[in-house]
Amino acid sequence: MDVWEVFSRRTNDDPLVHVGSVSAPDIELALVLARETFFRHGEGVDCWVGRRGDLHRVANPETLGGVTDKTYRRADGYQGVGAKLKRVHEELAARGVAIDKPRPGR
Amino acid sequence: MSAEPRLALLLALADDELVMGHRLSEWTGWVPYVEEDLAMSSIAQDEIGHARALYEIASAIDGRDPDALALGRDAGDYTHAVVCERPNRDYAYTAARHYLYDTADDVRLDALKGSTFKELAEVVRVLRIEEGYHLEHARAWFERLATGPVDARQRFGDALSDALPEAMALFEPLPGEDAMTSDGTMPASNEEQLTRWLGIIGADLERVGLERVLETGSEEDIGEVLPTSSGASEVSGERKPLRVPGLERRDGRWVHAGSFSGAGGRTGHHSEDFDVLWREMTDLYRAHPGARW
Amino acid sequence: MTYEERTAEFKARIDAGEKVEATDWMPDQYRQAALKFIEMHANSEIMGALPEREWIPRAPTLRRKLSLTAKVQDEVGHAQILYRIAEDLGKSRDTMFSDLVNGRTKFHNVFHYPTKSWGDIALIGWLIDGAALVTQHALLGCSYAPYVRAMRRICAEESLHLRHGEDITLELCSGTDAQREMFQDAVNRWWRPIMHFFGPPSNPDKDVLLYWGIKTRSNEDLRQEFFTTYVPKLWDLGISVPDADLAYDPLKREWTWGDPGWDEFWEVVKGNGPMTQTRLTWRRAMWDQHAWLRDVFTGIPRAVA
Repeated sequence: MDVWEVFSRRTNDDPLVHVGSVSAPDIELALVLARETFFRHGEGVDCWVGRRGDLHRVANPETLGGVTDKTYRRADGYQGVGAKLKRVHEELAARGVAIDKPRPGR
Repeated sequence: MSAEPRLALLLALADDELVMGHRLSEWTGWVPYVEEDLAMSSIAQDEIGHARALYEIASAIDGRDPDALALGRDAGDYTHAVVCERPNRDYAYTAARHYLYDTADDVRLDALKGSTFKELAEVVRVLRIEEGYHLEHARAWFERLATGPVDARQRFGDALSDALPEAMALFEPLPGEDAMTSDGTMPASNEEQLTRWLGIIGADLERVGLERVLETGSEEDIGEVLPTSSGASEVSGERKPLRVPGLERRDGRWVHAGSFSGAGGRTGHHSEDFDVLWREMTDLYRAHPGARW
Repeated sequence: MTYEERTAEFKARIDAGEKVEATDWMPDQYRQAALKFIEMHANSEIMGALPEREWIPRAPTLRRKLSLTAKVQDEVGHAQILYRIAEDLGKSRDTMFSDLVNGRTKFHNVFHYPTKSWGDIALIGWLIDGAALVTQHALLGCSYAPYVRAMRRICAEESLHLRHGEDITLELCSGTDAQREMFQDAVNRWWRPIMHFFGPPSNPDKDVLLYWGIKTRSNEDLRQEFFTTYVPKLWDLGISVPDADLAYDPLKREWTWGDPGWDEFWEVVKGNGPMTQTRLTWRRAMWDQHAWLRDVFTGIPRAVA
């Protein structure tokens, strides 16, 4: 008997996600059994199975994404831009710099 | 044509699926391999669901609703094959019967997919999809047990021998069958289907070296070796019949010849096992006529 | 770091709400506590299948036959998930089954009782699964991550079972007199085992499972939630609860309830419930009879041709 990890795709637009594991002697029976262990309620549109021994976990997963400041490349580094847009518009309008020509309506 | 033969066909198919599904559902919760418990339970539910779909069509002809057909008839009115009503025993018998039943069902549904009985042909096309998975599952177990350790192989072979004669009666001719083959309700007769099925299982059994299932009741078992007071040993073993009734080998092929063992299911003749099953399956429904559940 | 220092750091991380994975370092006490808890849960699911599966062959309609089979199948599915997780903590599945069927490990009290009618099936689906759901929701905050993920799936399936149970109950309660009586009779017989299910009033300070964050709420807390959720619904159906002292106190905002007596509970814990030995014997027989099947998968070396 071996442990086989089972992956599912919820809808065709979704990535494969891990949903659990089955014990089985070989890949053929693992595939047959995975169907009813994890998909009998229609949980997914695709099923992949792989031997646990072929999968490996990264060391130190808590350091994934780096440990020094990386906000420059993440959404949380750009939270102030909306407010900045509003402020700059008001400033330039006040200075009379904005160009007032016909434009498509909102 | 009169609706009667078509109703008989529908009820035979539905009753087979219902009783087979009922037996398989009895494994839910205690198969000694937990992932397999889940797989077998889904198969059982599929079979009961197939029965329901067939009873729906029958209901349009008969008038009684599907629950009344499934749970409200007298025991003698059920027309499933006797092999379906046998208790599950152990997993060797269950796997053996599952293989024989699903290979047979595959042959019969393949024959019916082109039926002139439109409603049945439509349902059959859908059933075949699920039955495809049942067959894949049955064959996976067939391979692992037939070519597994010697004890598993012996038990599985013996179980196939036990189940085979009654499984052949899945192809017992139906009342009114001639009319149905004439008008295309049944594109192939039961006899033709039986021949095809025997070819399939014959090839499978020969491939794994279990021809004995077809040739004899079972191999002469070594039996128990018992010490006797004289100091010698005595071998006690049960001798099984030498021929499977109704099965012969001609021109290198296995064919059906005349009789059926364990037949009568299609005309409502069942074993004591069905008395017990029928009471358990129908008592609650029949004890409260008209009640909603 | 010494073992003690590592353990202290581990405890601090758990208290801060961090989760533990199967491949992380764990103190022995944590591993053993988690394993024992999950193993008992797995045992309860697989034994829980037995009371209900008796009614699969006897279900009164095709739809109920299908839905009851599917429900029991889900209990087996929960057992599969939980035994797999427990195995990853370091005990083989075969050893766990063997310990269970030989009476060396335990399973929840409610699964030691017989089912006597279809009313019991309604009750188990609604009130027993309801009680289980209350405790299982509380486990969603568990520190052991694989168990949390399993509980998400299990809770979703139990919610479906609850609707199935409620559906059956509503038909019985709005049906014939015989059907109403069937359900009331089931409630009368099962109420005490349900009270026992939440366990005797316990001391949270001595609870190892609370210490390690495997359990997050006390027994009494969960029982109160059960009362609040289900007793008004029973009363709305005109079904009485066989506890003359059960009452809601609006000032204290809590339910008072009669002591159900705990002798039977301790007998059941020791393995002397009404159906304990019968059910274990069935399972043991099925297990013993199928050693040949296990041998198919243990990789017996084949002779080289």
